Amino acid sequence: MSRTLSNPPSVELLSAVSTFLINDIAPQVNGQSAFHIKVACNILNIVAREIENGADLNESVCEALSNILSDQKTGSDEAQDLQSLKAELSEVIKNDQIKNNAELLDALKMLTLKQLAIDNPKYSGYHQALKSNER
Amino acid sequence: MNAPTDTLIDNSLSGYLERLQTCCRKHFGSQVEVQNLSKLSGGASAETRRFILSDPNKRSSSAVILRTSSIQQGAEFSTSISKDCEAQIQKLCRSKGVPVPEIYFCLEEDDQLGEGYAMSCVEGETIPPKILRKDQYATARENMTDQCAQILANIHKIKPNDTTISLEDQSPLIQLEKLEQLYRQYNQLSPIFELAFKFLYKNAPKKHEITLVHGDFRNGNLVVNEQGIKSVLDWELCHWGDPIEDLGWLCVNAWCFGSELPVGGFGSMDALLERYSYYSGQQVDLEQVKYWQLFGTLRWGIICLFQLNCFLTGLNRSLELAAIGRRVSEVEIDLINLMEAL
Repeated sequence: MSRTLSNPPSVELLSAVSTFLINDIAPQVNGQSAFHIKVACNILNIVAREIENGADLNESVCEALSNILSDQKTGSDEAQDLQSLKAELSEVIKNDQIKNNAELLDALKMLTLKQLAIDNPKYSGYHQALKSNER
Repeated sequence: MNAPTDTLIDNSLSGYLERLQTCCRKHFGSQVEVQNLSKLSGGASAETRRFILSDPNKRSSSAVILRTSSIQQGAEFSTSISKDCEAQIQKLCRSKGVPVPEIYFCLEEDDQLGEGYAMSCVEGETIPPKILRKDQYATARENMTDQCAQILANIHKIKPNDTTISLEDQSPLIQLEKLEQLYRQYNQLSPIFELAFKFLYKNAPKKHEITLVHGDFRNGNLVVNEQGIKSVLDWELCHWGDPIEDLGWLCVNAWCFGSELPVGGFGSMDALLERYSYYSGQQVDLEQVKYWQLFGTLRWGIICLFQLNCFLTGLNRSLELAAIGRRVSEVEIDLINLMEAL
């Protein structure tokens, strides 16, 4: 859930900017600028999704990465941020210290799906992965 | 990147038009005129301009493309071959039946136009979503897998002994090491990229043919009309290597634009392999293509990281580069989908 510090909520501010770009600016431009308006709206949508779900994502991904790390090797159990957890797991893989490759791939798939739900939930590979999970 | 290109009047260099006209008159006679000069695109490695060359005596005019080395200072992901070399390769490929623009002339130092060459402008569509979705390209899409197979088979018939053109030899392991070196520079570690590197090192083809490899053969570098592929562009990454690299790169999901068909968004892998074997006379192992597909996907991921890095370091603050960092998770899911199926 997004926390509203003031009104309108930030997600609605972003939506107002998107609507303005699409309805008022896009019809007046073409070529490269029209393409860049699409890119700009995509960026605003990413930010909106991140405001709504980013905190949850960060927390659950950090927890899952910590679990993977403690499953795969014995190490420090200190709380770490996302980047350093990724770096630590990368190091474990690089050094061939992975015990169960299939389990690791499954866990990483779950994390990537959560990240994609923010970055680009329309992506074909995202839907392909969701479909293969249903099987 | 597949941003549509604008027709911008190029006035970045004073006297450019006059020098270009002088140069064209040297090759085509004193009566020719350069008209409608415009800049199509400018990247870190090359600049592309288009102009109309008209000949009042013959009452004819034709569109010409001028490709020159970039004068911009900027980071480049891969080392491109020289523009002279690019022109020679295109001439060689054209002589072997590969559809490439005809090279008219190479620039010389006293032309004062930089390093580059002029070639025919092949009219057609290059933007993948249009090629994949518009009704007018329905027949083209049916033909393109077969055409890709035939074109690639012809490119791959060219062996190092067939030419004096000097190109880099890029075996899979050499390329992997270069990629890994770049990847580690960006400090954006991804456990999924690490898994892909592991697999690719372990399973690198030990023995393979060494042929000419286009190096960037994908939907986006193909000029297409209603019947299919008219021309293959962007030869700056060509090298000697494993020919299957080109087949794998063509099957990277980033060029499919939502289509479920893995070959550039227009064909099935079985069809590509069957047609390629037919034209090349070589049996191709599906596993090999999948190896290079995974390789290509990782390579695309590292190109995304490179562009992200250009944005973060302030080298290029464009909107497109801002967005591209968020495409890394697309590459990660593609890598997972591919590794699960191995």
